[in-house]
Amino acid sequence: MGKMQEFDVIVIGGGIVGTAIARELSRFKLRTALLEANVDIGAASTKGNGGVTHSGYDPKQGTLKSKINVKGTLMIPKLSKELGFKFINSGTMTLGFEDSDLSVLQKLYKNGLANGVPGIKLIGRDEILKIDKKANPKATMALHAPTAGVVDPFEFAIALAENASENGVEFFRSQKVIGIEKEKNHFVVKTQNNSYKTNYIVNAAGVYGSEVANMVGIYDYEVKPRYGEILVIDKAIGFQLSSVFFPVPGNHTKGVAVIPTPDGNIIVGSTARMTEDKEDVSVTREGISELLKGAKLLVPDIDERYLIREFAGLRPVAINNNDDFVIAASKEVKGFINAIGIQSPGVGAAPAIAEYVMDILSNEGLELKEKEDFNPYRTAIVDFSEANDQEKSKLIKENLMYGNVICRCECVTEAEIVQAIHRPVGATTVDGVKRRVRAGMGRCQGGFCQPKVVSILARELRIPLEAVLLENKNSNIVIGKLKHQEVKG
Amino acid sequence: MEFNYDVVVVGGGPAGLGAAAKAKESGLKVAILERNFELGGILNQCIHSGFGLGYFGEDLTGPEYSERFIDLINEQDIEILLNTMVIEITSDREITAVNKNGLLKIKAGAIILAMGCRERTRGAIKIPGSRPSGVFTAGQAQRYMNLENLKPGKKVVILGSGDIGLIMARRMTLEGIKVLGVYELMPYANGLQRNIKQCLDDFKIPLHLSTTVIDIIGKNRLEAVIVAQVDEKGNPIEGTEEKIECDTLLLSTGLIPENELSVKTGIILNKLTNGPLVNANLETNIRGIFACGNALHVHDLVDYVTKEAELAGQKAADFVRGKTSLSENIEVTPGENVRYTVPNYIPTHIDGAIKLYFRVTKPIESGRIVVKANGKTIFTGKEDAFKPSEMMIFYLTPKVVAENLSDLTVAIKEEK
Repeated sequence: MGKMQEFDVIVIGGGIVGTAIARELSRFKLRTALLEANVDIGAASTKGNGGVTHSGYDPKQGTLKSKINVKGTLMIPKLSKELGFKFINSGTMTLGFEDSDLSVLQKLYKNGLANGVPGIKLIGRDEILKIDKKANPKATMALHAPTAGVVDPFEFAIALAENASENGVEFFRSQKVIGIEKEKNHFVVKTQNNSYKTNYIVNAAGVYGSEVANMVGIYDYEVKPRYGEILVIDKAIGFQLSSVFFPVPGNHTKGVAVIPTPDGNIIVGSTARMTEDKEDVSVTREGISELLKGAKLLVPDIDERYLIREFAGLRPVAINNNDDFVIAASKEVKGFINAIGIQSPGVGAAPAIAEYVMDILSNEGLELKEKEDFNPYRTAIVDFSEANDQEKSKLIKENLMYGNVICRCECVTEAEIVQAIHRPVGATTVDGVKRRVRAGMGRCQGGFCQPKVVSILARELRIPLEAVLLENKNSNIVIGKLKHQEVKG
Repeated sequence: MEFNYDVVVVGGGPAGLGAAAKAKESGLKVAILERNFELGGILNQCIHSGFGLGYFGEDLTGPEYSERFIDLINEQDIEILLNTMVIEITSDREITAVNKNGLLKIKAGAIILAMGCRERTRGAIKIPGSRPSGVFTAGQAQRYMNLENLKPGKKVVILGSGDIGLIMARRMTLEGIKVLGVYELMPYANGLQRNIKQCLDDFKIPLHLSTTVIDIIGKNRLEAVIVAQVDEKGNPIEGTEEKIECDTLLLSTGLIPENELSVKTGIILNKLTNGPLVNANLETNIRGIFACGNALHVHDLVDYVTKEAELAGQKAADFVRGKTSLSENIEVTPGENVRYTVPNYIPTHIDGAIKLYFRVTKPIESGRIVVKANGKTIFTGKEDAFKPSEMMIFYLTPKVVAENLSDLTVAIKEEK
């Protein structure tokens, strides 16, 4: 092993929280690294949630979450332009059906006002249907929150990571942290095959937040996963939604929501159940039924015949912390900052969490000197399917691979896939390609394009076809060649 | 109006090839737009035999079958655009396609939709469990093996008794891959009887009816599936669960005509088939746009695809030459025990017999075709057996149609 790499700050965890923090750190004259345990960034809690950037009427007034949520969500529109990820300012409507729902909605409304959420309003049936005619007409009232919206959470994280990388942050994937040694003035972070020296650590390890904290002897919070299942509905259902829909919420969750995605699909999610298992994201038969039932209550035209995928995610919940986030420097271990327990609304809150962590780092003595050459902009891979005819012609002229459509359902070309692989923090797996350019995201779920994506990955990464992974390590798509003998012609 | 081609065929699989060859017989300017780098479609990966018995009276492999049509096409002056993806079709028959030469705008005198079908996925049938690698649709695994020389896994469970799954059970066994069993939700097999015999029975591969996969286990690569027997409603029966260790699961759970392109054009689909609603000319609700093959409805045998495609090719050519006229139509709808019919509309005046394709909803050991007009039985067929896996053909004669100028219902009456 060569000389240990040294950094000022190491971010542990490459989900939406870690990538947002890394991108914020990339503004400053610092040596920053991000360590991600999985093969790809954004492949844990970040890929397994609904992508709503909540307005912030829900978190209890006075909590850290309430402040950070409202602020973060308001930062999203500008960030979306800077970083070229899709954001739709759909707003949300929390539908009430019975008289008893009114008091809950009023309470939420008041809480929202106290949290400083702009534009929230209690509305009646006519207004509900004016905002989205697909709403259940039996809904008599709703809390409308116009600042909320939707993103592809993984696209958001990838955009943050790419921009951070272009501004000098080093990304190390497949680097599960297995131990941290606290030396006098620095830490040594150990992974299975490497060690990294750093002055500061930001713990953004999601559901493993407490395990990472435990490595430096911090046992303040236990992080456990709240498991939730989600359904994806095909664009072919024939209608799109203009708003996110929620039912009147339960104790810990916002209930089964119906959510338009920035790509024109509809997703339904999620169920909610505390669990011990930090890996199990299996979906259940009961969960699927519960989601369909919940979805039809809000949008009766949801039709299960258009289901294209069911998946589940784990939201990191800090136990005995009133559902609040834990974002703070350790009092005992100098230089160790927690950004854990970032359950919903982590996606919308992420940009504000990142800013807040900068303040903490600064208070802890890290000098934040802005770079003169920081580039806040990231250009997205040009989406061929959304280009007009003229642009399409031009794209193909400039790059012939734009003329080769690989994914027929989402109309994704070879050019887009190759770019997804060669970008900073690029795709190395089939699902990594899918999250970056949507190949395999459609109704055939890669039935046709997966073999083609596998060969493009093998070609571009110069690896054998049988080494191409679906997602995690050992998730090889095929196990080898059928016939080994070379045919000599 | 100036056309680039008289007839443009979207798709160069068996349906597209048959339609193009037939349309060319009328001496028109014909083009095939194919997204793959070669013609032949899915037949290229169907290296088993069993093709052509009906059409050629010979037992051919998939590639052999398609080769006959490709040779025929190549002998003629038919434009073939490969690696060309159609991304839009307008109702006035302008096609937008892309290939490495750029964006193409093609005006067509008539269009024949022959895009084929896709496989039903895990998501569509809602199999619970985790999402590891090792879960393939049967056709996807077939492609990996037969076209890419790649081995999908070592120990396989097959869910669904569709023909591709049955064919793959044999294909994998021949490669030394252990096929543990075929599991079918329904109380009967979905594939052709000859495939059950030749692909399962001959290799002693068990077929478990009324059984399905209820859980998928494995974080990275598939490790096991849980199967369970189901009741008449298809719900798993508690206590019948069985864990089967395997690294591969193939899904052969149905095919769906590919018509997203057609829907955007404004073509109305038949909810029962997911293919366009068509008249006896296989013309969709949009004049001059025809459909055939598995894009119209899923066929059991390619020979029928070819015959149907030839009809579409002929009628598209007739349309271009102004030989078809709008006629009054009556509707044909499925009655008891019949899942769907194609075509959906027939003219009130017909010269020759019209071939009506249909499938039954369940196996019927003994029954008779009953055609009704206005509730009155106008035809009763011979006693016969019917299976959902087999496409049935019924000939509507000019006499039957002319005498009954009202909507027709085709049903199967079960004999006790």
